[in-house]
Amino acid sequence: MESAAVDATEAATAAATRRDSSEAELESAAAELASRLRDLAGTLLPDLGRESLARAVLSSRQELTEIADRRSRRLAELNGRLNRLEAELSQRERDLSAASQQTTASERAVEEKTAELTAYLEADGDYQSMQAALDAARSRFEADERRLAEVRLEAKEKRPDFEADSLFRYLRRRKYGERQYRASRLTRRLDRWVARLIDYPALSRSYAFLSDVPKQMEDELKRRRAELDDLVSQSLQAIERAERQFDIPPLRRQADAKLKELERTRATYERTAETAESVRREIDAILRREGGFYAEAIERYAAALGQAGERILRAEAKSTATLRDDDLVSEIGGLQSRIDGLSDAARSARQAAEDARRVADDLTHVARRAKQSDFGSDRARFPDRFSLDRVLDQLRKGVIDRSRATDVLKAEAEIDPTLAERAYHRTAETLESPTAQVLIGTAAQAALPALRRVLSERR
Amino acid sequence: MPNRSERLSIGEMARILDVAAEVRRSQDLIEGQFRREEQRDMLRERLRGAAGQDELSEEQLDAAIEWYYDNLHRYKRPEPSLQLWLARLYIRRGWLLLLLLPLIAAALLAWLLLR
Repeated sequence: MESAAVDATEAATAAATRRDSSEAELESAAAELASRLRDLAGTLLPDLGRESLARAVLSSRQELTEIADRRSRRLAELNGRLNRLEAELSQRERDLSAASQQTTASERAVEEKTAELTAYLEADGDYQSMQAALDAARSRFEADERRLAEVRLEAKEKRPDFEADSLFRYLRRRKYGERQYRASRLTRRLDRWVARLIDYPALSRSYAFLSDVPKQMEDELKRRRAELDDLVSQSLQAIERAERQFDIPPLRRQADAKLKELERTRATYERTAETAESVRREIDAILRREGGFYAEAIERYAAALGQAGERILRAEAKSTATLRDDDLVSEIGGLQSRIDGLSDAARSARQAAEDARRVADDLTHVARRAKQSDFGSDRARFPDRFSLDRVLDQLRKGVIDRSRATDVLKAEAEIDPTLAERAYHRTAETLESPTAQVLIGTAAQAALPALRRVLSERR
Repeated sequence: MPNRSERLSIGEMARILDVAAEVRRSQDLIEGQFRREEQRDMLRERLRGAAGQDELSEEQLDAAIEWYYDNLHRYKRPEPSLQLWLARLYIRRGWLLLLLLPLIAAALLAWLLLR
């Protein structure tokens, strides 16, 4: 029975595969038909003009006319908008030109005044001497910076030799030659001897130079930096005073304001030009069959052609000069026939798959129940007249359902009891026999007085 | 009312003058370091004057000045000698004493026991 259930499951899977393949083939043919219908619609409806619409299939003419009207309205709207934008753009161009001229004039005024100021400052002896002093201070400061870098490098290179000598380190640690130096008389004499031996005073001076001078030079350089900044500040103040004298600051502010205005005008012009360009692109797309209107019309027309009969399609195709649409109509006819055939096949495959699945489920159910009831074991016995194949065949054909098949199996099967069941039955049979009943009664009669005696003694 | 300078003692005045002289010396030193190029020129002129009849080329003068500045404030290692060796022992007297003390004590003990 289990092998019958497994075979039925495999058959159901194979039927489902056949059904899927059949449906996929049908979908592919339907997609191809839709594509051919769109091609035919595109051939029969080259544009949304009045003549093309007049030739269209009657059922779709109303819809197509609506689309063409919407397209015309949209075109009119876009053309109106484009005209307004072009007028605005001309105005912006004029604004831009005027702003550009004003900015140039302002900048020229600033340049002229600045040239006058430069000539004045070049003739001013005080300013020239201040500038010369500033230049000299700046170059001196730069030279001082370079010199400090050299001294730092020299100290970094020479100091380690001093610090590596143990005698120098000893005298330095003891602060020999300084006020804080403390030692006994003997140690003083010996330290003096060591100091003479290595010429400690000269070494100490050199070491102090290498340690202290870079820091002192840094401090001095900071002071000189402040002096230089002061000179720069004085020079800038002198220039500002002279600029005020020549009325340059208001002219410069005016030039800055004009420049900002020019930038704003240019930004507005560019935005307007961009909008006009996008409107122009949309109009071009509509006119070049790329707009949504034509695509929508083709979709609708293709749907209408799909609903129309082959005879109408042939008549439509014949009404045009081109042979392309005649070929398409032939292809569409072939595809429709193929789809009809595929639809029948898909329907049958679907039904077969459903039946196979039902049989597989029923057989699996009955097999599971039979296993639970031990019908497949050695203890199960069926009468000779019983035919399992006949029951399964009836189940496959749908003559009986799964619960009926299970009931038939239960009714026909005889199951031998197990060892435990047989022992239990034997015990029950023994206790229920007449001899056993007499013996039990006698034993009870004998035990009753003894039981009474025990109970009275306890009281 | 006497001003503050009249109330300073001679010792205080001397100390202030010392400090002022030290500050001035330090400023001169720093200024001299910043004017190394001027010092070089001065040195070159003096060298040229000191050379007298011996004609020195500019390259030789430059090399001499370069050598001078290169060796200025450079550590000069003393020649090895017995005195230097003894000086190094001296500055390590603390460690030597620590090393020798147990040996001396052991020697003293041995002498006392074997006497």
